[in-house]
Amino acid sequence: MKITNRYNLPMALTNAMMKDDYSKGSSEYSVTGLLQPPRVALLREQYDDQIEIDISDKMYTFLGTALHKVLEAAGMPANNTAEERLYADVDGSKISGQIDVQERTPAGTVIWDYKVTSVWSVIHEKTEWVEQLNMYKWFVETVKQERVVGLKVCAFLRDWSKNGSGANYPEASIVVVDIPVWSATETEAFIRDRLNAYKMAKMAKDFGEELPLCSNQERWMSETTFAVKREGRKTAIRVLTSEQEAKEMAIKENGYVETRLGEPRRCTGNYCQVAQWCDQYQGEAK
Amino acid sequence: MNQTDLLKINVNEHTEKKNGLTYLSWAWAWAEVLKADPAANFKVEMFDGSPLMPVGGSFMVWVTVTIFEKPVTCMLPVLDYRNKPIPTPNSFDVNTSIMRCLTKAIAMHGLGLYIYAGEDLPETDLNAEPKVESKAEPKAEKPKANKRIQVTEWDNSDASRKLFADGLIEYSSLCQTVDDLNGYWLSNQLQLESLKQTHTDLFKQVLETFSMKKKLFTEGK
Repeated sequence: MKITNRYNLPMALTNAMMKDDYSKGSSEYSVTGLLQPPRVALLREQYDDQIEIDISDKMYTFLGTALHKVLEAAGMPANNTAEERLYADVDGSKISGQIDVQERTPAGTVIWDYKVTSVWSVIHEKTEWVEQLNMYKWFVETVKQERVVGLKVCAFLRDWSKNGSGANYPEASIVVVDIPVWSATETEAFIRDRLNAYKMAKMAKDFGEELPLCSNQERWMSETTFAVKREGRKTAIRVLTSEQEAKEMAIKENGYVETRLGEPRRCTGNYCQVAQWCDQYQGEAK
Repeated sequence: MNQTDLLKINVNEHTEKKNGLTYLSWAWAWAEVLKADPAANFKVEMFDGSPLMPVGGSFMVWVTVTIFEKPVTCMLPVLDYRNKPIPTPNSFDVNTSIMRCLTKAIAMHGLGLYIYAGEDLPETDLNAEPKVESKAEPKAEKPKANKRIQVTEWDNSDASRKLFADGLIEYSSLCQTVDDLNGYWLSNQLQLESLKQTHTDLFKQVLETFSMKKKLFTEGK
């Protein structure tokens, strides 16, 4: 991967930001790796020497890393274990997960994950968080044979505002989010599904066949909306998710309906870093 | 070579420890068997067309290995990575159990049997002349008596990788559909990934064979 410094940021900062401590240990797959879409992971591997990222685009990753370092440096309470990596063998594949914090309570273990994230992420349940923390739970229960009684994300909200309002708007810039708990059977089935998806994708790549397509969820597909507009007015009167309701309103308002197609934001914003080599996205973009 | 000679072969360099269990490479073990008896063969026992024998909600596989014209049959339950019986095994689970059972049956003929007996080293020939220069055998971790020995399907030698690649190519002829080929490939994917890194030419041979067969099936030939 090529790292650029388009905005001439100071060397001390770029050095720190370029340092990548991420490792999947001696495992074949990590929890976070398995949660990536296989298409993205395999294209990244294939085009690693051509992917270009500006150092400024790594800000959020850097903030996350910094948060973990500060927490680790401050020391953990005696009943907490930080950054432990656990390994397991599933269907012949070695997988691992590194858990931010395991807090031992009289009732059992509580798993904590620290994240620097957006307000939006805590207002709308993030599926990836549920999957990630439940996989950690499975590791603790399977490998360490310990009972897990809670899954929590401690979210540092980078765009939180005191003036923010609306339903479910978080009360503070740091909040704790409870994550729904899956059964071990459910999680094990999920892990097998992910492993299988990766195995199928690797096989397709070996045979030069089409890689499995990313799902709408994996592509962060936004919803298609219908804007009710009127001639001579720049902004929409209202934006609705139902085409029927939009049409009815347009008749009442003597206006018209503009369809705003949902878009795969991960692809259009190149958050996957491989949009230019992806035939799924490029095929649609044409 | 006879059965006594098989008992003397040191297999320590071809084992690995995994989750506290000792695994022996089936590919290496079978290569040694063929060196001892080129007419040796093995057979996976079938039950109404299936290699699985149902036992109380789980399954057993059975393999018969014939060396020096003497058949020995072994059984092994189909287990997961925690060594628990799998109620609904997939093709990978079945393949793994069969190859483990194969190595167990080979051991019953003598090769690697000492590991099952909880010993560190094979039987030595008491009548043999002591060697003047000898290296101490690396002492393997002594398996606990209650630990079940399992076998793996992989080791790093050129010979075993060649055997692995040849085996895949040979047995791919048993596949009747693209799904069969895909299933066979997936069952061996971990080893194939490794083969791709270390023995690219062998990997390409296997890949080309499978690609050609896939193409033929797709075209309906």
